[in-house]
Amino acid sequence: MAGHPALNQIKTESSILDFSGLRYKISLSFHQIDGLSGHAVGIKFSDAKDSMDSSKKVPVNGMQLGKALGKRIVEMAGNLDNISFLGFYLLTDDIEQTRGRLAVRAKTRLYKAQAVQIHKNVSHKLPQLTQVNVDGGVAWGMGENNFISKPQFQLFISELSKETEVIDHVN
Amino acid sequence: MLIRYLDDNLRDIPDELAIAILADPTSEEDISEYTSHWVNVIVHGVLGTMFDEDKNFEENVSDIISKFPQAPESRKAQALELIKAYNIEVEDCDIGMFPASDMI
Repeated sequence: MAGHPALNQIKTESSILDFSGLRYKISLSFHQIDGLSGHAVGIKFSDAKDSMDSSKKVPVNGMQLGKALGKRIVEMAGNLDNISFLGFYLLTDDIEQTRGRLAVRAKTRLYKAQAVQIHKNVSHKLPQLTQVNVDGGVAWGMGENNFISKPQFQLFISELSKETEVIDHVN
Repeated sequence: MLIRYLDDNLRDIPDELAIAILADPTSEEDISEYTSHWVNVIVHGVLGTMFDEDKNFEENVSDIISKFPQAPESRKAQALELIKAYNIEVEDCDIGMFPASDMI
């Protein structure tokens, strides 16, 4: 979400996850959006050097990594007060070019599983989980009921000016 | 299907669980194209995400199966074929082990 003109970024918080000798960074960016009472928060995953490239060749226990990432995000998101929206995205264009479309599909599965898991922990506050399929990426958002009909969200979708498909009730 | 559990040991999960994950009807892609590598990534990544450490292994298995909607029989059959290929093609040392960049 960072960089979008309608999404004033006011602060970021990040947490480093040490895992099997590698370091991963989970960043939360906080945005102030007209008409939203609380913050919109974006989650970003990367390695500590802000890309995933340096960890490319080291095999790790995938089940442990999935668990560790999920736990840390839930911890970070669970303590958030005053949020109206929480979301993250997977940019698929680069992955498709470098790793192929099976990689895109597999990662989409895993991101979706994380979205459902994170949502369980914030659903009391942000009951609606929505997946948005955009040309070049997939996004998951959690918000108040009917947030997809709100003007801010509609504006965001229209300004992407790409083919989008909003999938409500992901789980 | 053999998986590498959180404690690094190999464990057997019922095919029914792996089928539920792979055949997930809320994902609409053609699953028959997946290679054994991506079956390895998807099953372990999803299990790691969904496993509840406060519950025992058996409870987790039945809980996770029940969380996936029923897939059409044809999709389940495709998933079983993927599992058979995984069983033959993935060496024990590679089960559940892959670069983080395959997941994130």
